[in-house]
Amino acid sequence: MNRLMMNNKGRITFTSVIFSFFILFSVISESHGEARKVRGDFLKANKFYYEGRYSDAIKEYKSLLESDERIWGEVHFNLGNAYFRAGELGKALFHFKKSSEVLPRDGDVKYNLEYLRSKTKDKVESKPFLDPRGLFPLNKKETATLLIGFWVLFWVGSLLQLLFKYESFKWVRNLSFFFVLLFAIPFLNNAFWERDFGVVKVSKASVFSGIGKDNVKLFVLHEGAEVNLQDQSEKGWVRIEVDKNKKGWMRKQDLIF
Amino acid sequence: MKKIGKELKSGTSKASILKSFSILWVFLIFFLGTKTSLVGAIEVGLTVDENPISLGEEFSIQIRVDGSQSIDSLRIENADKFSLSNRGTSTSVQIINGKASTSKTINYSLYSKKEGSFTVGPVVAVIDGKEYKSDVLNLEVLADGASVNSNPNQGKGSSSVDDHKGPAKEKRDKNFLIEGFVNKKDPFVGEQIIYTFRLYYRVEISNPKISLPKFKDFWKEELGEGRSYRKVVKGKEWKVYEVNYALFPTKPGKVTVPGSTFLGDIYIRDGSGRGRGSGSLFDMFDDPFFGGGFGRRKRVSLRTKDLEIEAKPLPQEGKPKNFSGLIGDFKVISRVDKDSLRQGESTTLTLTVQGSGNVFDAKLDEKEITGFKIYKDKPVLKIQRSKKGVFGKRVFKMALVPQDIGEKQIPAFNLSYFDPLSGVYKATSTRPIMVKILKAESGDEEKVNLVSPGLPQTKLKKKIKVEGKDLMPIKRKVEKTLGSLSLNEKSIFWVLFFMPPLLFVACFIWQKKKERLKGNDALRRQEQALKKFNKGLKSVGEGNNFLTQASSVFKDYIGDKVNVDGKALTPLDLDRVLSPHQLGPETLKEIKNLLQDFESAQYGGQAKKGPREMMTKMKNIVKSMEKELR
Repeated sequence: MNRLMMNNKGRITFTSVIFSFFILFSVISESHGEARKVRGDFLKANKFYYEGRYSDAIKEYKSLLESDERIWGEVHFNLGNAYFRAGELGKALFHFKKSSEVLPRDGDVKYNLEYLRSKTKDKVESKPFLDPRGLFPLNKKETATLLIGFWVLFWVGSLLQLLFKYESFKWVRNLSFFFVLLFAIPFLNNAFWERDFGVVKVSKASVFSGIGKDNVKLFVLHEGAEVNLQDQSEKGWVRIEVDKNKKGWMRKQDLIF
Repeated sequence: MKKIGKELKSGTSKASILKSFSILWVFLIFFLGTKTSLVGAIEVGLTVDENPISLGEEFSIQIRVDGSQSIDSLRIENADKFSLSNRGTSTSVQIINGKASTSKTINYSLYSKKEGSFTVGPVVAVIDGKEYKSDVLNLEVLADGASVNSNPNQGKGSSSVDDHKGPAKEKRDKNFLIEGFVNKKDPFVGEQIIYTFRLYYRVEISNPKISLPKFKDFWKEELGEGRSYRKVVKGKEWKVYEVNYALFPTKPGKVTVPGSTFLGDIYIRDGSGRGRGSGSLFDMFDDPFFGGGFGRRKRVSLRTKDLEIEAKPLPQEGKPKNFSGLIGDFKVISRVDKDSLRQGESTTLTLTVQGSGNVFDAKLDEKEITGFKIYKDKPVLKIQRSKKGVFGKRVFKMALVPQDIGEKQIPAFNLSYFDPLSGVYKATSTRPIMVKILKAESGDEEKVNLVSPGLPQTKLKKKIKVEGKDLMPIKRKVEKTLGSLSLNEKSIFWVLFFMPPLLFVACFIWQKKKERLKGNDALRRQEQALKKFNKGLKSVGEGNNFLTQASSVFKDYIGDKVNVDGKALTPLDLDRVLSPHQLGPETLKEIKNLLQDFESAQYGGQAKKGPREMMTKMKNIVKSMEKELR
C-alpha cells in the first residue's frame, strides 16, 4: 500500500515537474520572442529616425511605450530626440525628463535635457531646497532594490548577532541600518512626496486663477516650461505649480503629462 | 548736496513771490481797474549778453516785447548761422503813477557754427495781425581767445602737443576753453597719430560732459584715462583736463573727424571788482559751495573744430613681398631657453616683436626649422599706453623638439615694416641661434619616443572652441532599462520587507525561551511533558503490552509535570506528590482511579475498561492537567 502510494506520489511529482518545466519554458520562450519583437520594433523606429521620417519614428516609439506600461529609458530618450527634430520642443523635453527618471546617470540624457532647457523661454527661479534626485541619482527601481537589500542585510545582521553574539555582526547590522535610513529618503520621496510633472507643449499657454477662461489670467507660460501637477481631477483643467509663488489652472490640452 | 538744497529753496521762494505778485496784480486790476490802464506803444527789442563771442561758446539773446503779452508769431531773421534753442519766457508788469505797462522777454541760447562777423535779426513779432520789428545785432565770433599760436593741426589753436603753450593771449577775459587736435594730419594708412582733447578752465565747473567723436575710419586705442594737471601760461594758472587717443587710419582718403563737445555749468563772478583771494572777509562766500556767492551759474556748451585728416596709402615702391603690415618703429628679438639639450627634451624659442605703432598686427613668416618638430603657442600681446601713443610687444613662443642629434641652427627671422617718418620700408631680423642636441641618456631612449612628444603637447594645449550645439544621438540598443518595479518585483519587495522582521521576532522568542529553560530541569521537563507524552502515546499498541506501555507513558507524564521519577509512582504516592501543585480534586481523583485501573489490570489481570476507553480517559486527564498546571 505504502509502496503503491509512493509510486503514485512519485508519478505525480514527476508529472508536476514536467508540467512546471513546460510552463516555464513556454513563458521563457514567449518572453524571449517578445523581446525579439521589441528589439525589432525599436530598430525599425531608429531606422525611420535616421531617414528623417520623424513622425513615423515617433509613432513607432510611442507604440513601443504603449505595448509595455513600464517606463523604458532608451525609448523615451529616442522619442525626445524625434520630437525635437520634428520641432516639438515641449514634448521632446517631457520625454527627456521621463528618460532621466529611468537613466538618471546617463550623460547623454542629462546633456539633451539641459540643451533643451536652454532653448525654452521661461526662466524658473526657485528650486527645491533639498532635491533627493540630485543627491541620489538613482531611479525608483534602484532605490527600492538598494533599500530592500540593506533592509534584509540589517535583519540578517541582527539575527546573527542575536544567535551568535559576534561583534562583527553588530557592525553589519549598524552599517546596514545607516544605509536603510539613507535610501529611505529617496524611496519615500518617490513614493509619497514627488509630484507628477508636465511640460507645456504649445507655444503659449495662459494660467488662470480658477477653472475657466473667464478667471483672471495670472501669467503666460511658453513651450517647454516645466510645471508640477497639483490637481488633475477636474475635467479639461489641471492645477499647476511653477514655483511657490506661481500657481494656477491651465488647460490640460496645453500640457503633456 | 547743500548747493542743490539751496537752489531748490531759492526756486521755491521765487515761486511764492511770483504767486504773491500775481494775486496783487489781480487785486489791483479788479479794484483799480477804472483808474489803471495798460499804456505804451508796442516795441520789440533784441539784446545779447556778450559780444564778441567765442566759436562754439554758448551765449544768450533776449527778445523783449513791450506793450503786449500776446504775440501771434515770432521769428528771428538771419539766425541760420547759429544753433538756436529756446530757454524760456518771462513777463513783467510795471505800474507807474497809476499807469501799468507790460513786457514779455523770450530767451534764446545760441552757439556759432562759424567764426566771423554776423548780423542777427531783425526779430519780427506779429501782434494782433500787425508786424513789429526789432533792430539787428552785429555779432563778432572769434576763433578763440587763445588763438595766437595757431597751428593747422589743431581744432582751436595751439602750437603742438609738446610745445603747446595753452591760451597764450586772451582777446577777452575767458575763463575756459577747449581744444582738440591731432599731431599729424596727413598720416599713412595704419600709422599711429595722437588725438588730444584739452579743457582749460579757471573757474569752477560742475556737471561736465565731454563727448568725443567716434573716429569713423580709424582704429582707436584709448591712451589711459583722462589726466588733470595745472599749467601756468603767461603768468596765469590754468587747470587742464586732457584725454588722448591713438588713432590708426584704416583706409586711405580724406576723413573728417567731427569736433569734440563740452557741456557743463560754470560759475562766473559778478564784476564787483573783488577778485578771488583778495584777502577780504567775504572771499569765503565767493564760492560755488555757497550758491555762487557773488557770482552766478552759467550753462556753457563748447565745440572744437572739425578736423580734416587725409590718410595716405602706403607706397608701392620698395614694398617687400613679406611685408608684415607693421607701420611704426619696430625690432624683433629671438632667444631660446636652452641652447644645449638631449633628445627627448624640448626648448622654447621666443620671438618678440616690439616697438611703437600697430604692434597688435605683428605677424612672422612661417619658417621651418630643420631638425626640430615645432609646437606653436598662441601669441601674447602686451601693450603699454602713454600719452605719446601705443607701445608694446607681441611674443610668439614655440616649443622645439629635436628630431636627431648634432649641432642644429635656428635660422634668422625677418621682419619688414614701414617707417612713416622716413617714408620707406625697412627690414630687421634676428640672429641665427645654434642649438646642441645630445644623445638621450641611457635608459631614457624609451622616454624619447613615449614622453617627449607628449610634453610640448601638454604645454601647448588649446581650449576647445565650441562652434555648435546639437542633441546627443539616439540610443541604438534597447536595454529595456526599467525605472520602476514590475508587479512581481513589487510582491518580492514586500515579502522581503516583512519576512526578515518576522523571522527575527520568531528567533528572538525561541532564543529567550531557550535561555529560560537553560539550567532549569524541572521547568524543561514540565514544558516538554506533553510533547513527550504525545510521542510516547504513538508507540503504544493495542496488543499485550498496552497496559505496561500506556501506564509507563502516563506515569512519565505525571513525573515530568511535577519533576519526580514517574515510573515509581503508585496511587498511594499521588496525594503526597501532587498536593503541592494546584490540581483540582476531580482531576486528582481521576488520576488515582486510572492508575488503580492500570495496576489492577496489570497485576490482578482484571481490566475494568478496554484499552480505547483507557486511552481516552488518559488523554482527558492530560488535557485537564495541562490546563490546571499552566
